[in-house]
Amino acid sequence: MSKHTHRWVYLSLAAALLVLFFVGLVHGAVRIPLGDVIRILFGSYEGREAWRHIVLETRLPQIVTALLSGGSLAVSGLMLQTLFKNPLAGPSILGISDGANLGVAIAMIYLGAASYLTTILAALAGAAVVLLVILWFSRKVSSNVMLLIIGIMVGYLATSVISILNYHASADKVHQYVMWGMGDFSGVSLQKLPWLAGCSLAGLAGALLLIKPLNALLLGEAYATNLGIHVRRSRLAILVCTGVLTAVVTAFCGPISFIGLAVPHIARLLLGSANHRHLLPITLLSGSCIAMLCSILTVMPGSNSVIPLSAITPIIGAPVIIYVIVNRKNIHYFN
Amino acid sequence: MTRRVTIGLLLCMLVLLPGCGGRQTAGVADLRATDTIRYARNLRIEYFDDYVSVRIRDPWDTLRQRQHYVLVDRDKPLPAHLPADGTVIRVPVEKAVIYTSVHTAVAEQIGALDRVCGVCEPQYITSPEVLRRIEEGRIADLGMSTSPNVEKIVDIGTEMIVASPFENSGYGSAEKIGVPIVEAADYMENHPLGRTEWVLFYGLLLGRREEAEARFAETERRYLELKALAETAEKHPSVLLERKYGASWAVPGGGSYIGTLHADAGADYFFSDFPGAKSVHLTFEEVYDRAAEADLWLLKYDTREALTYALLREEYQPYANFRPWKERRIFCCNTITSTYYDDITLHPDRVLEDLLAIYHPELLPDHEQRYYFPMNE
Amino acid sequence: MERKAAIQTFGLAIGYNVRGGRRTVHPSLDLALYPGELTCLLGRNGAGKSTLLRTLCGLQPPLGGEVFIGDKPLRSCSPSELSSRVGVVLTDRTQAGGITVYDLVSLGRYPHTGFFGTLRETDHEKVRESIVAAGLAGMEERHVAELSDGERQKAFIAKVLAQECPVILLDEPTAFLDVTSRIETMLALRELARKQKKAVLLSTHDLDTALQLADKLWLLPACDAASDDAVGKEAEPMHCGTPDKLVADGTLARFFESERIAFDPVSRRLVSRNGK
Repeated sequence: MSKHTHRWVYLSLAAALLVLFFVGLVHGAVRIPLGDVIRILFGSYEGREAWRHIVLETRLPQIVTALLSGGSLAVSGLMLQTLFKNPLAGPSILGISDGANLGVAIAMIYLGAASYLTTILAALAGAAVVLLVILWFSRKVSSNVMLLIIGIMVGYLATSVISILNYHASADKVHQYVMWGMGDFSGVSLQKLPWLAGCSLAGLAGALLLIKPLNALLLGEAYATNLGIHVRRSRLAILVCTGVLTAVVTAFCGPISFIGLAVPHIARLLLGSANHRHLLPITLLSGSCIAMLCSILTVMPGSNSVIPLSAITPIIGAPVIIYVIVNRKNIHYFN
Repeated sequence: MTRRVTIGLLLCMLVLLPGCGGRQTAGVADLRATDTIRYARNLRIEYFDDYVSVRIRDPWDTLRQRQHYVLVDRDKPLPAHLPADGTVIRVPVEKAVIYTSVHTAVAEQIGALDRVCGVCEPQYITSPEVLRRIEEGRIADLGMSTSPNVEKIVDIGTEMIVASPFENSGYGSAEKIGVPIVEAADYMENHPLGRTEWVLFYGLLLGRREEAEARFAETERRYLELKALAETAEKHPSVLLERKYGASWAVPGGGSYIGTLHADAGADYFFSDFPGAKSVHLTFEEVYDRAAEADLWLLKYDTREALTYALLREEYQPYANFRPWKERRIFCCNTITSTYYDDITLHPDRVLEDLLAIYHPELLPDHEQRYYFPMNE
Repeated sequence: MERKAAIQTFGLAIGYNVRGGRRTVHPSLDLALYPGELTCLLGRNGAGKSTLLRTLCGLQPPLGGEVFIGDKPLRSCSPSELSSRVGVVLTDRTQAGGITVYDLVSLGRYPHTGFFGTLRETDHEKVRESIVAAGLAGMEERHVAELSDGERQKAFIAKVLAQECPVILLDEPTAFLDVTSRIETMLALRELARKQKKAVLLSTHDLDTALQLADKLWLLPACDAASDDAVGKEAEPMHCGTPDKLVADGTLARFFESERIAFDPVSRRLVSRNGK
């Protein structure tokens, strides 16, 4: 039975991935006919130069960014949920995205720098600082629950420092920061994409290598040790992997909520199992699909305005979490 | 005949007597001059015998009156029949607190700086004189305009606060100290001269009426002159404004302040067909689709570091696909180092001149740019 | 003939760290666990049975003394080395509710699999065997969360069987089982020990079954210590021996008897002193 389930889930997700990718290229605020889009993709287009640029330099990077970011955040969330034995853990919970946020806030508001490269480096630096703090604590604190709480506290600390900075900044700087703080997939150009792709794929590859320890950790640290897993080393590897994935996405796209938290649940429900062997790849694919869907929905047909991404992800994410919580008695991985 | 006159007089008195109860419509004889405001849409000034009535319309709900100020000469006794719905301000105000640097600049430009006793956020004030007075303590630093030091406001004996209103915001504890708060909604005016015209109001408040009227008249004259000059141009270059923040590109409508300003300078602003004054948030691709082949691109930015072609492209590669970027036809204004925001309220003509020189250099061959300069590599 | 012990300890001190010091559960234990035998560990609650088991498999550091797994000292064994020598069944709570029984038992093969934990056909065979041996045939696709406590216990036993270690330590494995299952499990473990020459050590409160089925008994006395120093040489040592021997020389009786409880050597039962 399991084999068939796997196959169907993989096939459906792969199909959804392709469809959503294509829709992302075809759909946008400017109406470009389907035929033209196809011709542009195959290089045989002879029409408006502007349209070629739109499809290849705006829509294509955006949908690829969504694909990579969705997968990264979702996998990051899954690893954290397993590591912390907490179905409500996510990259935002550990304060990593808040750390990245803080880095950017300091750069934008305090140092006045707003160049793209500075923002990214600042986000990575901020996330790295939080990660190091959590890592340090993870050596002192052996209980996973306590570590989770420390992560939450660190997140609050970062957020309050950001508020204080906001308070003292001028209106236009706050505006700049707020615009960044909303998270969006459209800021990564074709030239920057290889950086995002590189870091993201490296993190995802690392995650795939951690399937075995992740499964062992489902049994708890004692059993995992007995099965030959170095728990401390694995925990470190998981935190580093998660940190890199989260920091990279936050640095390139700003803070994006709910995908890391909700997609692992969607994946578990689809797969019907918590076995990371298939759960991890399926989480990756689901995350990519959901993110691409959200990216597509930011531009509603017929509307003149852009809906911020941070308004759409909760619409998809929150009902999933609520459903899971309400039905937790019947959900296996909750018990 | 005498009887008719007497009856006539009696009738007049009968008409006038109720008027003494304070309704301004009955006080037809009280009006010295009707409202002379010509450009500002949200401001109305009416001069009566012993007071001046200033009405401010709500820019967000134009059917509503947002404020009514009744300006009474401080040296004369308070008249008995003032409008009941007005906030009384004794003018000229001697101790005014101004929250916004823009209005502080206006006060200085009409020679009323002596009447300013406190300002907010001095880090955004560029005027050397104002900064000097703050140093010397003659003008108090009240902190952030979003939450100023209200105790200090009371302490320095403030008689009036000038603040910029937002749609749904209040002024916190400043509302409770019994000091009238003048809502300077001039920034919501869509016509450049309309915004300038508010200086007549500030002139009345700060006892510089003649100066204000003279300044306005001069600005109006120059502005209209430049506008007429722009109309003589044969071609109107197409222009793209600003850039995207995050996922959206905020595009002012054709009826907005910016839209009007650039149209008056003789440019063909790309989104002038967007009705009204509000900014519309478009996606990058929509802007690109329409404006990729613009003749010119004008940008304002607020970082200390100068914006360059290289930086612009680094910020977002597809910017380099716009024709103005490729042909090096971008002009930019650094709002931190330039006096753009200080000047634009009272001197939109100067900005207009800058723009006109960019759009039609042949019409102003000797002009030296003040605000917008060609962007560097 | 000197048999080689699967696990040996010399002067092992077990305990754990608490705030402001250490709690020594037992200061000095000299033990030997032999393959081919089923050994039962008995003792009062709080005597330290779990601590001892966890120390012997390397999950808890000893406070002193030496432990040898075969010839190798425990402290120089890496987790992966230990994983193929000592398998455990514990009372720990797990998050394994969302995986199937088959997946759970498959995890037992991890010490024998490569980087991704992929199972080869031999691994799959072993998993199937272990599931049957533990009495869970037909339940491979059930999720662990759906199992009863007893079934879950069996699933973890199946997992340790799949792990194929020469030593198996079980912490109260029969706690949730009904009487028949209890005896069946013990029988299965004894057969496993004898047939496959494994050293099986389990802790239990079930004196009856232990007396009947165990090859060896270990009686762990509780050491109430006022301070670390007091628990020195005066601590009562562990009593080890076959059930017959311990009954015959009265050790068992002394170990369990109290004011109101006595041990009857004939029926080999604990009975109350008053009221026959």
